Amino acid sequence: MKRVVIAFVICLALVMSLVGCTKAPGSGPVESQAPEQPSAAPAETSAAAEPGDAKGLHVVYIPIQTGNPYFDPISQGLQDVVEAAGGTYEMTAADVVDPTAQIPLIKAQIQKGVDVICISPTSVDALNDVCDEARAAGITVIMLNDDITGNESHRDACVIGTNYEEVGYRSIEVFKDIMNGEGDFVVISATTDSPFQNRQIEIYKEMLAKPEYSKLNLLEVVYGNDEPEKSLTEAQAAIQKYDTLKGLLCPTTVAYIAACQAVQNAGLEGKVLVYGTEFPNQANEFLKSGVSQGAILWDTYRMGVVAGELCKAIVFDGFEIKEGATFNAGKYGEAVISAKNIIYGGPPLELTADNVDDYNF
Amino acid sequence: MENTKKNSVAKKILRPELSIFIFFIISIVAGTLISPDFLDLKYILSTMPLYTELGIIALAFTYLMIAGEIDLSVASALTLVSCVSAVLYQSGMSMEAVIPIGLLLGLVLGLFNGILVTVTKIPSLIITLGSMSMYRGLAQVLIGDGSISGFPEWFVGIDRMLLFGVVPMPIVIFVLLTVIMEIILKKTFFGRKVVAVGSQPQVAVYSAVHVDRVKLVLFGLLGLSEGIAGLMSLSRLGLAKYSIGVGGELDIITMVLLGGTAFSGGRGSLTGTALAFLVIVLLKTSMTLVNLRRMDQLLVIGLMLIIVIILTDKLNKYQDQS
Repeated sequence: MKRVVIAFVICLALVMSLVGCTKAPGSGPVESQAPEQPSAAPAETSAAAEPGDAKGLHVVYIPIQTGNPYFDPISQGLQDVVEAAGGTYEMTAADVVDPTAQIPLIKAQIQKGVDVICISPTSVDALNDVCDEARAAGITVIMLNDDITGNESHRDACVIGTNYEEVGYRSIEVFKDIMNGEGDFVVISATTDSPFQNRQIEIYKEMLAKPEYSKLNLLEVVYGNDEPEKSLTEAQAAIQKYDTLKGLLCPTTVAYIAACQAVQNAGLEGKVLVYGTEFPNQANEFLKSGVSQGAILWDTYRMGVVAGELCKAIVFDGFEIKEGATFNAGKYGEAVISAKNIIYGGPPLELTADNVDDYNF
Repeated sequence: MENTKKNSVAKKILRPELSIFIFFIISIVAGTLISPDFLDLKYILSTMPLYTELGIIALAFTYLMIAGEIDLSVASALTLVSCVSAVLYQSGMSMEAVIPIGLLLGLVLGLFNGILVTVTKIPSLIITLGSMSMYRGLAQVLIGDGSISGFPEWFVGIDRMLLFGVVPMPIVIFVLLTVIMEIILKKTFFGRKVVAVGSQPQVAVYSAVHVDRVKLVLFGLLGLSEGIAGLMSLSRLGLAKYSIGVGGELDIITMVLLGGTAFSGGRGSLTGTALAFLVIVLLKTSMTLVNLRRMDQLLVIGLMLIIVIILTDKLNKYQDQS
């Protein structure tokens, strides 16, 4: 049994020596990088070019959770741009949608001293402290796909898919065309207090007040609570209740599917028209089979590319983020910084049976 | 003569906690190997408070598991305490008054489980599976999908309050609790009763130990730790939300089991749980640094749990033999 004691002592000695030896290189780069980065970020283009080239471009993306295919094209877009520029790209995410689960992930990136952290935040206010910590360490923090509304001062910029206001205006415009400018319709929304949907409905109503929309008649707004069952029940009820029903407008993806199913079940394809926000992959069969006449969303790949180009501009060219400034978004041309340092990835993505195969997400 | 001496030395070393100690060393070595940024004491100390709330609950959970019971509602209770405290503060109560109420609420949530378990004699696994959903549901009913923030400055940021300028306050609390609770378990009559309840409940009854009363105290103690953890998370994050700490109960049970506590009760140590807490923090920290996907992280921790439990079982049998 003496051997056990000896083995134990050796183990201990091993740990001690490891702690002793690697302490210096472990903490070294962190300390030396910290002062280097803040000087690089705000510097002028010419001055930043050298340290930028020397350390390269290191971007990390933290989506809301793993296994959600919605974020894949965003990540792909980022990766394509960053790697084409010779930079390092990584993606990491939590497996649960817990507002606190992103904190250790961000802390780890600070410790590694990356250049830019892109985050799709799970909470508008849980990340404030850790984002401040990252920025104090000279890291640029960009919100991606979702913003931390009300806490904008804790991040450098936010890239979102498109201007959601525009989605609202385009939705009702296209819907009017589909309906040939006249007829009764019902809106199937999410919950009564969903901010995105409520704003969309406000926009619909604003447009409906205009004379050219006078023949479009909104019968009712119903709420499916973003639950497939409840949404389907509401869609079926609307079809039952209103003989004159000609269209279903759905500002949420869950209701869009439910509306399509209800129309299909009732055999009313082409008689009751369906339009709303939906992912290309989900809308695909309904668009092609003629159940739905169109869908709208934003181009998530493009959003990733624009964010990647922004990272490049910041790290390589010392691009300063401020309202009204523009940067080169590669194949998508110029991108503009809007109010509150928000950047819209592009115009709304309008899907029809003809173009839906071009998008895979 | 020499043989027995050798045996007693071996017995001292080959304790059930040894397996987690080995993993403690492995996790440091592995962390250092996979990431050059890992072995930075300041960084490790700054990430520890992210898990300390679960660690504190794991300590009281160790007691309960030694006594042969389990509580799945721990993480939900933590969330409920932080949500109720937030609502009380928002409704105009002072933070000084909210803190004792939060602790009391934790105690009540723990006792609620304890009373149901001891009165109905239904396995605690089943009872607390119910309260797990109930507590989190209640938290969601209370504050909905949003979050509450805006607490007084002195209350927010317990993880940034440092002892000697380096050790965050939550770690100080965790270490103190570990020491105190280990002494109570190993050195007091109450501690021996806890072990007796878990190892031989029948004998415990005959030897006039009030099994139910001991269990009730332990559920209450666990509840109190949920109160402490709930308030700590409120302070650290500066906000309350119903979805905080989802799945935390599994992390807590993993810590307790990794620490060498027997699932069937009767055996366990706080030092083991504290070491297991450290191992989990070190592993998660190093794996997060290299952006290892979460499923791979789960794989590693799951594999370790299985190895440790088998090893601990062997060590326990060795202890019983000699």
